[in-house]
Amino acid sequence: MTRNGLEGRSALVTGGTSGIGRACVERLRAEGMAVTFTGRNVERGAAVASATGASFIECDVRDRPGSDRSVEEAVALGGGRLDVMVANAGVIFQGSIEATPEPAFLELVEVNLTALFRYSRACFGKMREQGGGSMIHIASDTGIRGIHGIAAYSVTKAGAVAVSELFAAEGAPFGVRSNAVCPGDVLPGVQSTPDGHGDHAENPDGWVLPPSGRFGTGEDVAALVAWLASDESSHMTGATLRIDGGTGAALRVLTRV
Amino acid sequence: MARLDGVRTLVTGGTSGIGAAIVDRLRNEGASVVFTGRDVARGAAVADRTGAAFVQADARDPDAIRRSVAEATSRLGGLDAVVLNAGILHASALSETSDESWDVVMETNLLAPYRYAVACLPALRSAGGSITIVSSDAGIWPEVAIGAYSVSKRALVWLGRMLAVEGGPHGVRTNVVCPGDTAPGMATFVEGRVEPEPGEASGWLAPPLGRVGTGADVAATVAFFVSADSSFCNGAVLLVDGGMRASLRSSEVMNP
Repeated sequence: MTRNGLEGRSALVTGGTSGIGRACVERLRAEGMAVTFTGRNVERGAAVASATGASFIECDVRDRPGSDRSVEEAVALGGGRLDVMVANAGVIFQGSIEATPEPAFLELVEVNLTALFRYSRACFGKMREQGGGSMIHIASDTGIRGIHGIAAYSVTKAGAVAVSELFAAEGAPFGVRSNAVCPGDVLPGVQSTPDGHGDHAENPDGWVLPPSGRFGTGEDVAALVAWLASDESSHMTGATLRIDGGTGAALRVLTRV
Repeated sequence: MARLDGVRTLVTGGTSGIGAAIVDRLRNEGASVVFTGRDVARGAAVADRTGAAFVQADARDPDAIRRSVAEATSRLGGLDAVVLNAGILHASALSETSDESWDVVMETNLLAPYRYAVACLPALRSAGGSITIVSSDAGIWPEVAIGAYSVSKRALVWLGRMLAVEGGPHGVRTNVVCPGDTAPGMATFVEGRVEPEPGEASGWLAPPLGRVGTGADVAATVAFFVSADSSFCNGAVLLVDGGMRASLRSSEVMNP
């Protein structure tokens, strides 16, 4: 499966031990890329590494020096290059703004926004120096239209989209592309909360099926990521792409009956 | 009777620029105003001119935020309206923004409004009040030269929308004003205070209306959102920019 022409190129995926991140690691490896991924859990990281042949770096993206080191390691493991960055690590909290405790709000900003900015800044420097690259930011459909049940998450994801847009404008003259991927409801959902890692931290009980008739999968998102990573999308930068089975396209429920 | 007679209002960052213009306008319409800021001398000057009360508070200090809300609520005997205006500018592309500058911008432009909103909501709920957030046109359309600022203002727009949803059932409206280029421009930078130079706007690109904005332009919009004239506006995001962001090339020489 090398039609995307990614074989032999190098990629860094943050938060690659589960969910969408893991699916991205699997897909980019299947495309023949040298993939490095970060995560907090050594056991999950080792499992993904042995299943895919990707390299695991234990790193909590809130650890700023550790994050910087993980970029350097990824470059070294990629033979001195970094062609693709997938900034995926994220954390969710279910609740209104007022119901979000301040430490949780701060953690969401640090992980979903600040770490995404810091990884982008570091990778941008490397990509500009080597004459090109593709940065992919896993934001959320909540960054296009907020969802009040995950209010603080929505706020941080709106910021993440802006980070992606800005690096696109900065990077275009240097061949560095930057795009924001905005998944809708994906199963399994975001699994990390300020309280730790759960199999289904994001509760899908109240979810309504998209018009497509099914929820998204990590593989759906990874397919878009692989395309954005490749030269097939070489004129696309600064794009904000919903991948949600049509949920956000138009309202389907009449609010006046 | 003036439109805002007796409206008990807290304005953050009211000692200069757009904030001071907001204090002026709300006072002229009859509101009772407490405003915050960092500088005691500037605060005293605005207080003398307008009859509003100054409470010294730095938006980056969570304790000062809680204290200033408590003091405003106690002085005014309740709270009908909050205008979250305090902000900081950093003139740097994202790729050249240091951790320290990023943190200061996020603390001031995003975390402080979050903290102020949460601290004010109980009083606002009992009064059926309103929150008006001053974001920026950069929150609608980011600008490379002010990268971190743009990110913070985008997130701030979303904060306003989320607050609109959760405050609405309790009669608390939240709306967002996004000023375009305004003169005098912002004076608060990450590196410190830089007083705007007279005539600074002469070299700026003009929006379709042919002039840059003024603090009074923004204050008029804020006064509308504070007043009952906007009683069905909730979650609105309003550009006050002379049409500059209405199209890709609203100014003749934009995006040359």
